[in-house]
Amino acid sequence: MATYATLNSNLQTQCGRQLRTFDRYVGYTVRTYVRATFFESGNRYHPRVNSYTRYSYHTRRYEYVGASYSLYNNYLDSGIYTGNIIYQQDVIDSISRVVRRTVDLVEGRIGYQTINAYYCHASCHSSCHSSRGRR
Amino acid sequence: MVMSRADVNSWVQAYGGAQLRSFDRTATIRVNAYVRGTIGNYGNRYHPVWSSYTTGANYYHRFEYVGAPNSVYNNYVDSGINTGNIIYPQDIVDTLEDLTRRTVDLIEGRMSNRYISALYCHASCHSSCHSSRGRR
Repeated sequence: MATYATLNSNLQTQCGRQLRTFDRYVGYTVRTYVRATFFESGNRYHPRVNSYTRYSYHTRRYEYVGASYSLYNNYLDSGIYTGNIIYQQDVIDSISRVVRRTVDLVEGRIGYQTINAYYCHASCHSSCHSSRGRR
Repeated sequence: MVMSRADVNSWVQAYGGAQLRSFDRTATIRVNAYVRGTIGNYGNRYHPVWSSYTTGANYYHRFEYVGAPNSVYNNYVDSGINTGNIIYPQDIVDTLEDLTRRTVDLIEGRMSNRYISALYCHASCHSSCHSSRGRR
């Protein structure tokens, strides 16, 4: 006899295991300015690298691989257990609850992320880090 | 009234689909980068004005499936549920497991790659970015 407690426990384990498969990398292509640098010549500063832009690619992970099974506790309609007639509405309610719960839980994992896109030009990297543009 | 596989399949699609369409999440991404470098003119000498200044801004990217068709859940019904068979409660639980996996897969499929243009100019003298020499 599958009691409600048993079925509820099964639901938590089975659905929780599926929720843990949520593991998605999203790629962000970011266009930014590189760090501008200058050099001095004849008492005047000249741009060495000015207004140059570049693209960079960053991935950010959204996941719930550590989701607790208990997140689905009691999301099975209370009318579903062996020995009881399962009514249409009991099934519909369970479907709605579990799918909605999954959507809500995943949405809760799509949170704030930061991308640091600090780039120097590639051709003369040391000049970025000297007090004045070195040649 | 006896519950058939077709009944459960239609509920899965109608009610699962309705809930899936509630997936609508805006992710905030902060991008930190250098601002555009410019040169300022002081007494006939040019000085670097913004050479290493950094800043950041928030960008918002929407992930949603508000237009999901119900049919994405077609046949996500446990194989134990068949007309003429007894439907056991565990068959319902198994169906809910299938739905959970399907929902996760569908949402993952909506989380596509994105593009962000994070071209920052300095705030105090914006026009100088767009002139040939730093204007004051």
